[in-house]
Amino acid sequence: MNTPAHKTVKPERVEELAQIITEAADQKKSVLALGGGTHIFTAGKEFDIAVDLTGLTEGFLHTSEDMTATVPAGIRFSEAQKELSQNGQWIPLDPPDRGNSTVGGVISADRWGPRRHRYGSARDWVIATTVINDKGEIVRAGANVVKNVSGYDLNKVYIGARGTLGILTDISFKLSPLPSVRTTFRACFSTIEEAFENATAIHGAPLEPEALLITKGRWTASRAKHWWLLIELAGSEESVEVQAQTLSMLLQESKANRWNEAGDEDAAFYWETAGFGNDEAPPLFAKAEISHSKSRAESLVSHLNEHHPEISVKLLPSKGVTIVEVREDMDRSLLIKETVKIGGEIEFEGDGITSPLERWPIEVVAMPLMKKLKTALDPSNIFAPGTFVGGI
Amino acid sequence: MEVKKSLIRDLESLLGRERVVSHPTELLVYECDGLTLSKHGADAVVLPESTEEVSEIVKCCQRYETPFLARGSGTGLSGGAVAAQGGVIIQMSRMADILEVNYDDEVAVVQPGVINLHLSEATRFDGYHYAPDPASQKACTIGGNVAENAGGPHTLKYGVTTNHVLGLTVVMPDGEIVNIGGRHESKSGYDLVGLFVGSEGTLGIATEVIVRLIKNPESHKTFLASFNTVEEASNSVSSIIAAGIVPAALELIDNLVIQAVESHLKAGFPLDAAAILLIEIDGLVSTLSTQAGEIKNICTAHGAINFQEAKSEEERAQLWRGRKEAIGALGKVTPAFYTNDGVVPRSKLPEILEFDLAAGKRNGLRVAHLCHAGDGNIHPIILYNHEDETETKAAMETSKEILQRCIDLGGALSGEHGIGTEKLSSFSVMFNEMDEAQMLTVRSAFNPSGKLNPGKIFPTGAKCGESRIRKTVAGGGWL
Repeated sequence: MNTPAHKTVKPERVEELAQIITEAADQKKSVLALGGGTHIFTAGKEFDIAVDLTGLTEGFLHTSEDMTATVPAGIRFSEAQKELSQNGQWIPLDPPDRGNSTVGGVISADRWGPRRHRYGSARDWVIATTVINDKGEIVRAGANVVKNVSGYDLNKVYIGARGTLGILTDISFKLSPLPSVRTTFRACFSTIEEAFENATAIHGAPLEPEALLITKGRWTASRAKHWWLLIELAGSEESVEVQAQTLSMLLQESKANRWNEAGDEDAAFYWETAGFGNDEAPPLFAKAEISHSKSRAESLVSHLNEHHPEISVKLLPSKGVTIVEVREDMDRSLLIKETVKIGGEIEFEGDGITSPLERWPIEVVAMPLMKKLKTALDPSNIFAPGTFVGGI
Repeated sequence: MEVKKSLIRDLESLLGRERVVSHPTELLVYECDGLTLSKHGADAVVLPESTEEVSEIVKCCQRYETPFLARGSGTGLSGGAVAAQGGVIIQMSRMADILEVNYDDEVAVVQPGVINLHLSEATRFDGYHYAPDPASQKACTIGGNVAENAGGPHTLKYGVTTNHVLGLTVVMPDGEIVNIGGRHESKSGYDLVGLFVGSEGTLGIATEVIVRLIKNPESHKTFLASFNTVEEASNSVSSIIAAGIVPAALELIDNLVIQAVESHLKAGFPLDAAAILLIEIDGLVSTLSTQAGEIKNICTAHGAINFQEAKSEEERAQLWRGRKEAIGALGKVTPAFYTNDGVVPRSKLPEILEFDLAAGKRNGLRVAHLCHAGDGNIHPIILYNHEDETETKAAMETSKEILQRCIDLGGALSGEHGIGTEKLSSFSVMFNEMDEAQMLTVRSAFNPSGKLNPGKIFPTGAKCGESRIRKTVAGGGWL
């Protein structure tokens, strides 16, 4: 991986990292934290020190009887999950991962996947963190318990802060039992209205899907301009069987052109294609993640599709989050305008997106508070300066 | 005194005399919250009706360099909603409207004074509810819940307040009105909503709250399992969690509480059981029977003498009434009680419950249990006589010992009540100076004068409030 820094260090112990940060702070040197290097955003800047965190792998602790785990930041996310699965549990987050994402990276960048439908995101599962702060001190928030109001919940602000408030060295999670059976259904619709109608019907039916996704374009592995519904059911064998029957009946009576329950291999292929194996935008494309109130999804997507029928779309109707992929040369202002109109937020990602203002083009109302927080926790501005929302 | 008079005059001209309470007798009501162990007198209580009024009140207090804080129904159990250093209490009870219920977005927009249960009642017949359900939900406000990150029996499956708040309108300590988060899960920038929820009213005053509404489950089953020993009951809880089962609620109630409940309201708890588990599972009909079977097997394997299902909605409601009103019932069997909110990793439950009882015994006091056991939130209730100084001291000592033990077992000081003024002296048992400094840095960033709700959470600089502590009086509460 190319590290945009004068010097790269790879500490193997938390104390070593603390020492590095203490020295960097003394000399007011800028520090960029690196995980697996899958979602670095440098805003075209060069930093004094890059800290490769993949050496921080000591201290993994799975307390399966408590359904909690403490995971060092440098461990690969996929490895942590594999380890946890040996006792039938998992961190119910499924970010796009080519295998080298680290736990610290996934949490710092607040990555998520289609099962956010059922499980929410990192903020719902992180219970404690250890962070190296701007003074090089090792500070802790939270505890390895599932319910806690002891001091400020600083975990929340570290999640998704992309290393701008400190460096996460370990993260504790509340865990979920791994379902014993999973199955995927896919249904194809001619119009977006029909796809939404069905998503709504599923939401109202006695079903508890793990994932529910509407996709179109590149993420469907189909050239046709159809809208696809991808649904995953999971749980005990009995529960999945009953739910599969309910869902089959529902799809049978729907306006779907065709639908099927996928075998394991096909299911893996569908989800991979939907961008949850590898979600990198191809060259010359940019990806936009739009967060909005749930009821605005349909109008937003149909409007965008009307103007740019070539766009690829995937959205989680239950969470109010839509991802669209557009050619980089396309005028992004339409997306921004439509997002503003519905009171949403947008984040662009792609080779051509180089500044925080391009990445997060809509002004965040609470930006003055966010700047206050940043200034308080990192007064010398050493942690990834100029790479975050609002130029933080 | 002149300053105080002048401040009250300014507040009266802002709100009108009828919305400013300053007579010493009328102020008595606000001396404590559900934690009656210590009392603190406020100089005035004001009753705003809008966000703008809250903002003006805050600016006024800052001008007079007077402490101020927001208060809901005063059901909190950590002394969080009291004027620890005097000053003005901003009582939110006149801002109690449900402003919007939107099923398309599955959100509700409420004012902070809305009673928790009222929101679920307003949406129930449309198939929705608001998930956090503290035992005080008939009385507590959503604003108070936001401040304390309130929990409740069903948060085991559904999460606590922070998992259900999407957006807030906040009056900052300088009077500025800001919106954070929104009607969707905000992902742009820092999670300020996550920071504000549970900050015990020390970073800002919420004047509007956007919460998630969730669909009612298709079905539920409620069980009552009885045991001959507390140990068998707590072992069952640990085993249920270890088996990867997440019930909607999993509560442990011991014999002292059972006796009190049955003499008071007859919930149907067996009087001869040393402990009972109140277990609820919910979800799809197709998932419930298997889960119920597994839970029954675990309880039986641990020696349950009886395992029965609530046969009707009435029976279920009665069991839950017994649980949620248990703390009130305890008031009938003891002159005073002190509730502890410690939390431990679930596998440590048998160990901590044994410790609680022994700690009580060592200090010559009885300890009852009313635990959110599935969460590891133990809620030992220490029974004592508040008119006996030695017993009062012993109660506080017992609670301290229990908290220390919770931390030694890898737990935390508070599961859902907050630190408030109550646990200031235990804060450093859990956090070192650097952890505390990191949090204080955040407080100073948003609350630089420290005038918003001083003397709470952090032991540093809290001492100046101690001289105002008055005599101990017994009282009620919920948990």
